[in-house]
Amino acid sequence: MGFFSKIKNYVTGGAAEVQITFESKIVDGSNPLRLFVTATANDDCNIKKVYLKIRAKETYTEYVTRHNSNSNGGNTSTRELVTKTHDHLMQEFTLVNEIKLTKGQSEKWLSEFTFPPNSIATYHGKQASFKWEAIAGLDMAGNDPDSSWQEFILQKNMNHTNSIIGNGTI
Amino acid sequence: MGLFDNIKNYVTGGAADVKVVVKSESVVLGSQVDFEIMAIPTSGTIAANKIYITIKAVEQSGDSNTLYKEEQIVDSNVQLMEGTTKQWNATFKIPVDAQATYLGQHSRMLWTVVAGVDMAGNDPTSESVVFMVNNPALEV
Repeated sequence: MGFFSKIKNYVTGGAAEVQITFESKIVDGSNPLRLFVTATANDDCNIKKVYLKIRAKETYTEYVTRHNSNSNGGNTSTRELVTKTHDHLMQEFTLVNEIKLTKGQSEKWLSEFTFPPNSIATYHGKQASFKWEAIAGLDMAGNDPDSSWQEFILQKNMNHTNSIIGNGTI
Repeated sequence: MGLFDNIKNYVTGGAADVKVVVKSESVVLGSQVDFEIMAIPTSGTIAANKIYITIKAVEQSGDSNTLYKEEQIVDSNVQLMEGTTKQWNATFKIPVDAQATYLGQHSRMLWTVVAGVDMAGNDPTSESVVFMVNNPALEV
């Protein structure tokens, strides 16, 4: 592979393939989530660190009113349904620092993530969702090769109480 | 109570007080949930076509979206005597492939039950009662 190919890999993040493999993709949160991160170098890679991020993301919709002024000096308003996101949790872990991978070399790391108390279970609704996701990446010059966000399912009993939703009637 | 009061009650659905109570303490997807329904006429005897419960799973996120809805007939062609509380029990199985209750910060999905008396005029109904549906325990 020539000089320009290497430059291209660094820019596009194609210098290595990064994969996440969950020991179990559906967990109940009572034990730590166990996953393996695998990196296979397509080029020689000088890696500052191998990182893992875990996030819990709520996606929801909300009506937003926009006020506009028109050329006649009048005001109009429109009401739009907008999709929004809120990260309930975003944690980054460093799996290893300062590592070199030569072209064709593959390395694998095990990581465990302990769920915080009162973690919200996965929900896939119509206009709302609550997703747990993980991404692993190699911090190196140029764009970081990464696994892209991979979802895992937290399926657990929720300790809902009436205090959360009022007196039980709506 | 005069004729016009009775007419008003039929129109507003105030002809009976209706209550529904969730008897099951723990409900998980695929399991049964037990309800107790009570109705007492507020003015005069009622000839009801049916006593029913409506179970809904509604997501609230910007709009309200009904993800699941089912009506179950508890009794039919029943006479409710003035001053007498009548009581029924009902059982409903939560579909195993439905969604568990979800309480996010900006969105939620709630299971509710409403009991009603189907009669001439507006149906007297209970308040909408929320009950919690959980995920079943994972088989490890």
